[in-house]
Amino acid sequence: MRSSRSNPVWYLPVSIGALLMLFPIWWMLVVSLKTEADAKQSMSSGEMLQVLPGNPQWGNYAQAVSEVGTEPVTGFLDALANSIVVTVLVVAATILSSSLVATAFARIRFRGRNGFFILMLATMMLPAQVTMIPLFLFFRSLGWVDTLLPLVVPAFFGSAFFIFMYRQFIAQIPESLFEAARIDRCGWFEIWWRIVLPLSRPVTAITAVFTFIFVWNDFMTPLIYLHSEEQATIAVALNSFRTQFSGIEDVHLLMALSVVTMVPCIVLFFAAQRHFIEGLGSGAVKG
Amino acid sequence: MRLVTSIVRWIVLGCAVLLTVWAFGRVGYRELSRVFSGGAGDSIELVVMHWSGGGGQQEDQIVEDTLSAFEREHPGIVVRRINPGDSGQYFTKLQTMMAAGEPPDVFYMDFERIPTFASAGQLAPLDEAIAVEEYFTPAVDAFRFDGTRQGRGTLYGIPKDFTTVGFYYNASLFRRAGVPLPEDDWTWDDFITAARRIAELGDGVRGAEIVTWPWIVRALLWTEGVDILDAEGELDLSDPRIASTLERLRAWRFDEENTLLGAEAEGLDPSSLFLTGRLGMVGPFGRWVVPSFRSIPPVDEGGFDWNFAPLPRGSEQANVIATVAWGMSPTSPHPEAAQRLLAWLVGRETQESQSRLGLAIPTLRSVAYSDAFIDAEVAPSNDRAYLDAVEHARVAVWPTDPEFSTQFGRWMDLTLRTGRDLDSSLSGFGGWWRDKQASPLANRDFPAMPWSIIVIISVVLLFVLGFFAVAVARGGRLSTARRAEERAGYLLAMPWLIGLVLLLAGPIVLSFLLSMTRWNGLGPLGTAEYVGFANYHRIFVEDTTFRESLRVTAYYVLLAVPLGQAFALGAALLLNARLRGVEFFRAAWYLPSVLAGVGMSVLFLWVFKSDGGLLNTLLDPVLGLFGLEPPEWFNRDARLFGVPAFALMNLWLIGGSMMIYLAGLRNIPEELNEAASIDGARAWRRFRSVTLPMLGPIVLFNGIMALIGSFQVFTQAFIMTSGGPGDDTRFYVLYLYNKAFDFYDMGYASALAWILLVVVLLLTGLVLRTSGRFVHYEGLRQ
Amino acid sequence: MANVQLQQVGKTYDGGVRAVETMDLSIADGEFLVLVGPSGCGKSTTLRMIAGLEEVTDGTISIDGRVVNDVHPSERDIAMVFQNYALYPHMTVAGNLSFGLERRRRHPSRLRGLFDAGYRSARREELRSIRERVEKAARMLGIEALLGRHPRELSGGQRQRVALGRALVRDPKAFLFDEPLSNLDAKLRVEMRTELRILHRQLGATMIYVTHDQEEAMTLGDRLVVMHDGIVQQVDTPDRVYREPANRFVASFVGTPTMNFFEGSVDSAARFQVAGLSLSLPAAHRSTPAGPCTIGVRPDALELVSDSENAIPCSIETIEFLGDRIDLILNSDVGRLVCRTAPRSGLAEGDAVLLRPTEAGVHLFEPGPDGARRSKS
Repeated sequence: MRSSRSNPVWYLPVSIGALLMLFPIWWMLVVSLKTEADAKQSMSSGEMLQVLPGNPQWGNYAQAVSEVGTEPVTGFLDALANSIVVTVLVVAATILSSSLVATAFARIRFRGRNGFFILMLATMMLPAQVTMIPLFLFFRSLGWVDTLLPLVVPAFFGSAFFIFMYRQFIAQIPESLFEAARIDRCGWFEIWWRIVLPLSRPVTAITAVFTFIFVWNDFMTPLIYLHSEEQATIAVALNSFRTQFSGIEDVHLLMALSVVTMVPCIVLFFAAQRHFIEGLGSGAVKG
Repeated sequence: MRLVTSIVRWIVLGCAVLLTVWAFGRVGYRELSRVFSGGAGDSIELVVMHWSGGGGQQEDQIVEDTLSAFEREHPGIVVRRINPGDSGQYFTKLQTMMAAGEPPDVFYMDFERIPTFASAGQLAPLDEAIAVEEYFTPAVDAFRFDGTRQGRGTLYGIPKDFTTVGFYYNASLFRRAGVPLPEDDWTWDDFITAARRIAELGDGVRGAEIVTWPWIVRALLWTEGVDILDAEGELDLSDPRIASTLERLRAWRFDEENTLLGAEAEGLDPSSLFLTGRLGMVGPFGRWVVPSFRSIPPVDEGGFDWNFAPLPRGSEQANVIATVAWGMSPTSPHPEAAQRLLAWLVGRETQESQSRLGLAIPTLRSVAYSDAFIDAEVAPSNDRAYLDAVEHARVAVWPTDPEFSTQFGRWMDLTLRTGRDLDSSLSGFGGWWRDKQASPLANRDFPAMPWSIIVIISVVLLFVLGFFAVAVARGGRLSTARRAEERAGYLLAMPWLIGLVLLLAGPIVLSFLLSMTRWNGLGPLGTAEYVGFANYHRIFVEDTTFRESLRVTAYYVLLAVPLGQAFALGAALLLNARLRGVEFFRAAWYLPSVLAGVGMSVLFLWVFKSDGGLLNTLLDPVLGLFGLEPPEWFNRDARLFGVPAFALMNLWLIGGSMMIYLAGLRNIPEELNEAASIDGARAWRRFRSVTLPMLGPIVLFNGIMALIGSFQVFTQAFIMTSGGPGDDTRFYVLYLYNKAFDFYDMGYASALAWILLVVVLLLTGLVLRTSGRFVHYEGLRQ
Repeated sequence: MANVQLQQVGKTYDGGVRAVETMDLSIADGEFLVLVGPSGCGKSTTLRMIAGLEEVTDGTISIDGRVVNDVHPSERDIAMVFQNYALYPHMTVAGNLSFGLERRRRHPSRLRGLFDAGYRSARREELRSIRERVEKAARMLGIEALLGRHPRELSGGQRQRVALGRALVRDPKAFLFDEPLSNLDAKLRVEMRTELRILHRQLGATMIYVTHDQEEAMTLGDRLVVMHDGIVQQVDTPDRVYREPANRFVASFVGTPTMNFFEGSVDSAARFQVAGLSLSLPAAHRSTPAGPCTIGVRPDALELVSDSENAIPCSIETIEFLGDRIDLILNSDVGRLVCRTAPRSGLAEGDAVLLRPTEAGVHLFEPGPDGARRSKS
């Protein structure tokens, strides 16, 4: 519905909304840059609506980062490295496995396909907690607890949501492209690798971004499986930091660390925004 | 400009790649060295595990130093130290290690968990290990367990330090208010008078803050000569002094302005409030706050004088001991070395250095009475008071069920933190315990779960299924081409199919089986007992927390889902305009949703803080116009406003749904709206008759996803409120987690999980049924 | 080049739908055969069966004497040009052209082979020959300049050429076309038609072509296979299909504007009675049996006459001007008629005129929509 209202009227609610959305983040930034005394002050007496940081203490960030875990700095570096590794692996695994399975559902005829597809849709409704305990026991019996494996390995088996998205997309690729490839003697695996994957870049982009954000911020799974400092992800490390630094005199550090954990997502967001907008630039289809 | 953006993007990309490579390198190196570092040679390796709670970095350092000293004294023994962080993480990890059969050799143990772990055979008896008489008896006795009661029997842990409790007071404020400083035998009347007088100073100054942790509450009761447990350790709430003492506390907090603070509910550390110098007294705390308080500057540097006064007396003088011990695993491969380490850790040298830190009181009498601990020069000067209090101090022994103390705390929170009626809390708690005792789950011995039979049956079933599948696959009249295609199809779908069995179907079945067991998860699966449907019975008939969590979750679902979707749709409609700057606004609205997680929870913890939080600071002037006050979201008004706070938080995150709606709106052909326009339909009508119907499937999809998601709220609640106060924000999944990992009741938790599954499926089915069109099969090759 | 034989070939889909009724077809080596008919007549299905993209339910298909029913499409040595071109969008034109060839090379890159000099030179040779073939095909179609571009940068006509080139490059036994020109605009379509014919002549290749456009079929094919509802109606040269349609359907399908039909009956005096008119049959049809039948007359076989002997009185409803001829849409008692004739002045809408079919232009059909043609005696 193209809005035909005149400009000023539209800008008002939109701006207010944007303000509401962005202000908490901004506020967090401001607090993170205060001195300990100022932060304490502003939290307890409510005079914290300072919009601009007067005396930015960039050192807070260095301090917060060094206080993560028991060893200075290594705690943070471990958490960062773990998060990066887990996230990257899960994103890659999800893209590969989901697109592969989706190709089968979308384009290959096999008995039971429809039944399995409906079953897969049903599994999207499954709350994760139902399998949480048995999976924990299963991974425990494998000796994988307190390693990164339980966070990464399940991604290699496809994710119902993204299989569904890929499948919808692949179903729209003209059948003739696949037929041409079959005539050109491509096996299905090759078709997936050389045709489906390159063509489904928009879905891949969406999958990558959504998965990244989800995994980077995931808290429950690492909480259950990771116990040592060495293995912690950023989410878990931030939580431990919070329990240790819950006092009002540490709020600036806490905010600083929180900002740090949010940075990759923000960067990703700005980078990927353009990509969403890029349309399907293929000319293989008529017109 | 474009060049700049381009360069920036390349830089960002480069950084990302570098970071990734570095991260893989670091993790890879770590994992590989773990794999390859099998043999420690011929030295004995001992594993020590501990946490550093109140002591933080310093405590950690002390343990580190102690262990290094031990290694120096005992060449040939290498000690590996594990510190998972806080005590919550600690016990989960300990539980895991024990279940895996690889517990640490020497580890921290708190006295509340002695019964559980001792009964599970995870603690070695230590009577022979040290000379018990040299230690403070109440502290030592806390770690005795005779199989049914704590406080007597075999010794399972050696206390490393202990503390009694009392109030820390701001002497400067006392003087300003003209109140005499507390004596060691001061009374509650003295206490409250002082608090009131100090509160009158105004200017943001508060009289005192009393924390109401379960074991502290019991100490408060003891000062009035009463307890909630009788001599046999059974619950007895009949004594009227219980009600009167607690009611008095409640009244102090809620009926008097400014006398008492309610900081604790906010997840805020009350001891740190003391540091601001605006609190007259804080406690009852033990020695652990001393290192932190020692950072208070002296008066001439803008700080204040402070000191310690033991717990005030009521009709009696009483105190409580908090203590942590070192325990030993009975299955240690090097028992003598472990025992030597244990003795070292509670020995004289270690206790002296720890005591100098000021963190806690040494349990060795000789060290406690030496100047390692007693030092009038350093604040607090009243060191002896801690020791003197030992004479009338007890350890707060709880019934062996670990849930007892937590539940007690929750029920007390309802009154003491949210001001609700005391009688209903007491009777509620009493009722809960009665029900739990009466439940068959608590009492009977159950037969072991017949796992071997189950395994055999499953294997047979799998074989049958396998044959069946193969037969179906072989049969059927398919041409070779179709057969080849079918093989390819199954091959490509293999990842998901395997995942279906391994990660979905299998676990679901196991979850159901588990829901029929009683199992604490500490030992191997074989220790599970078969209880039939007793778990379910208890859930539906007796478990009030279950009902509470359902209420909380339902409240949330009903609020958050419609509100969130309406908001998202409205936002999408607004942002569908083709006006200048819309890109920026879209980004602004979407940005918060990528930040969901721990960071966001931390942020909103401070947004929703009752006193000085962002939201209330903004609301205060506005509501003040109407003579209203902003609610205490997670404190006094949590029952009504707790869940809406989470729903509000959820609104912040609707960016994702909004984007999906935007995409859907884009797909509505412009002509439809134009035709409607020409037909004379105004904006609202157009929305209702063109836009909304066309968006139908998307609304449904988003709605269902939101519905399912709203049942799984966990992170925010875990971090912001831990489900409290009481059970006011105990979301269903949080309760599940508590049951599984905090209360060691895996069977029960599995039953909860299954109920969740059924509820979600039913609801989803209902929603789908009432709307018909959802799944399109377009594009499927016929 | 090869011949293609269909023997007793039929196709039933899984749901029981009979898409193609049992048919026999023999396509000669180097022939340009066109399968034509309205949508859903089974022509595409037949083509796809030949290609191997659909399974054959009954009968056998042989290419060059080899039964290919169970042979994978890639093994049949055929090339297919699709309606929507089916170009690989992420590859350049050159890539699209060489893709099929690369798939067939006998020396795919193998790590082992990298160290074998003999293998390497064989590979080089192969790649060179692939490049040559690609360039040759590109030249033949006039798209050498486009080799480095991606499909999305090309116009419809250019894409179609690339699709064609992809088929060319494979040097197959038979070319299969599935409505390749349907997506082009009218003018381009006509141009491409000519090019295709020239190409056919140049290559001398067996080409099997599917279209729903009868004009296209007529201009391109050596022979036509007219299909309707899965049944083959007529297999013949364009000329004979036009002049001697096997039944009413074929007659109505081929030729623009559509043939005029009069449903009536022949009386014992060999006169055709319809709507109160009595027309005498041409000599060739005098001996046709009496009874109901249908007469078909093409628009260009109707003449404007001035005498009413054997003529049909009509009134002009509209006149369509086509440059070198005009179409008259007329109303009469026998229904609406179309007459195609040379332009003349003096005609206006609403005029009353008389039409008479030429002697040779009268076709007789059995009654009914599929009535077979009655032959002349």
